[in-house]
Amino acid sequence: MNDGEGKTNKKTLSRRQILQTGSVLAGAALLPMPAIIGRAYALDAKDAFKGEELTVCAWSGGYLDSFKTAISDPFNAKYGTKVSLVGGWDQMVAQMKAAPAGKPPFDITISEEYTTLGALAEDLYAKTDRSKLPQLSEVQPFYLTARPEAARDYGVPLGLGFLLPMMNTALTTDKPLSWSTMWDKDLEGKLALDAGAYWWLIAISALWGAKVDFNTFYDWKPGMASDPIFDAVERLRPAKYYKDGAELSFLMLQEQASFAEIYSADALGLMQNGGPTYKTGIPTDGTVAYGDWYIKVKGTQHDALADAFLGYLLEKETQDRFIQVQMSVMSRKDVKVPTFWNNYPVTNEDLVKNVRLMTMQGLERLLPNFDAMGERFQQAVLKTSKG
Amino acid sequence: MTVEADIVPSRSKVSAALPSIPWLMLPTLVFIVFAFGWPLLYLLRMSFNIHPAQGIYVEAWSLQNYLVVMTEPNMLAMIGRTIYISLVTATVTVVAAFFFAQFVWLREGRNKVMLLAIAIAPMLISEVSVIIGWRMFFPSNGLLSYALISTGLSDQKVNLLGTQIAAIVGLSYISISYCFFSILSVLNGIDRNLLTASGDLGASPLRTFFTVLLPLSKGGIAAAFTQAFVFTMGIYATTNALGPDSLWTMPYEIQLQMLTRRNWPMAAAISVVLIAIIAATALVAQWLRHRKASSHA
Repeated sequence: MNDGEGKTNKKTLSRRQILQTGSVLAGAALLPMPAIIGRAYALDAKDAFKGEELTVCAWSGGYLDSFKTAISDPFNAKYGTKVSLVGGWDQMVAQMKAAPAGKPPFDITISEEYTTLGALAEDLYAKTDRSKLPQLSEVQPFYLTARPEAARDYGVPLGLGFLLPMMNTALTTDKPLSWSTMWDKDLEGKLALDAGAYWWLIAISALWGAKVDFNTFYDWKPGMASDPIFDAVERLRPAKYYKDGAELSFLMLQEQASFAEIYSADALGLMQNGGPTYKTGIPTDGTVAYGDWYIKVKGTQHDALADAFLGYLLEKETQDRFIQVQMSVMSRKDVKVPTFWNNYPVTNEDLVKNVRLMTMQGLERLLPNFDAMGERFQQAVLKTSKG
Repeated sequence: MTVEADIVPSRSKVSAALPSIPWLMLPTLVFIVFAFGWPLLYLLRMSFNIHPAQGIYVEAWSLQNYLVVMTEPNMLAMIGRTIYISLVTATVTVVAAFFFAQFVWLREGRNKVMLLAIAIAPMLISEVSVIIGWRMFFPSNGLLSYALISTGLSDQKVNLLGTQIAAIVGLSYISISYCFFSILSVLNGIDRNLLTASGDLGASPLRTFFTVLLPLSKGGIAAAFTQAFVFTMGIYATTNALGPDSLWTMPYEIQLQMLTRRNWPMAAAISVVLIAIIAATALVAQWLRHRKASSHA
């Protein structure tokens, strides 16, 4: 054995090499740690979420199907997670309130202004660290400026939902797609109006029937000497007051109504089922809207994954996919608008001009008279409905 | 002693024939207390809380909600409407169930089995399916309308969806099976020879019906009526989906207060009043039944 030869052939590790290898290994091991402990921008460490479950509550009906196809399924495919969806609306706050502490029924929930107001009053939502969401810089300023300062730290805006007029031109002469058309004599007995969330119809009646501003709507009080808003509601002659999207679809497809107030969440599905004679879009004189915000629920056991999901909602690819299957307006400035969208508000100025968001500040003023408004609405239904 | 007393053995005789093991009912009792009693107490407690404009409830001991339920014209109209629709539905259901049950009772063999299967059918279908079915049947483009036009009974489309008739038919359909079996079980305890004897003694079929069959089956009729009334008082979806826009019943108002307006205390107060009305109706029905039975003794 030759020591000198042996020395030349044998691979030895220098101190420097050992240190280099060690630091690479340590670095690799540490990479997912911030996400595991929930302090870093979670998508940096997607492997940490593999197999993890997340329950997201979104609007039920057609919206939920679209959300699954365009958002939750691709998210699961990309990150190996198990995001499951539940449908909801008015029961969401009750479900969160009734759930035991630390075991919320969902980790993230959709939330418009009315739900947000109720949930925040009951302290049911968790804040989101906005510094971890660089995509927010691509969001139209309208979304944040329309929200009170105290609510801006909760969740992210995916977009806007609308109340839209929908007309079946096979059953009525083609008329302008405007809310004022609802008061047209030709449409008496042909309207499908929402009685479930009655305040939306009242808002429409205030702005386009009574031609008063939103403040008049927010400050409505029972027993007012002059009540132009309900005078306008009582001039409407519906075929039926519907209670949910399924009933509205039935009324339209059964040809019991030719003009409806419809929520954007249901609009595209009904247009596709109804055929080319169905017409909808944001009227040139504007419409009333609600924010489709997604907010983390307090007590979620999947905080980092929830943050990752909220970030994913703000991605351009996500919003481009969603707008192809839903008649929403997306929060990003740069989405690719599909051809079926009539009068899409492309710029922030369009949003300000054409969209009357039912704001949280306004609803705060309305809520003390909310029950009285509901009772007054029932009187209006008795006067205007067929039975 | 009445004929009914001859047919139905007394309670003491039945008790004597069975082993007396009171603790056997303990699990059921515990279940009832926890599954029904506890939530009921919670409901009662909730009804005294108050509702802030933005939130859900604030703990309090206030009678305000009951005051609103018992004095506001809207609320009183809603209670009246619920009782009215329930009474009409219960009456229609019991009459239909009685004649169907009587028809089955007088049959034998395969025909009887087939009729029993038909009677069970509504129990096998969920309320949602029932609603969808009737919604296909009643509208102007529905089966009823086409049937009326094709048979020449009507020259134009008929829409019954969104009417009280549609609501009552839907509600009846849900409870008719239960009513049918309540009545049939009592009819099965009646000796059919009594009807023959009545006829032999010269009574007309109508007189036999009113003086023999009806008094003997009144226990079943009362039970069926109570059942249909209680069912209808608590049903929300069918009334809502088939009835007119203004058919706001107590269950509808409860969901509206609970979910849309988030006023849990008001929803709880209406629920307590609903339970009280149902309990009072059941007690009155029982009392009337026993009072008549004792007056015949």
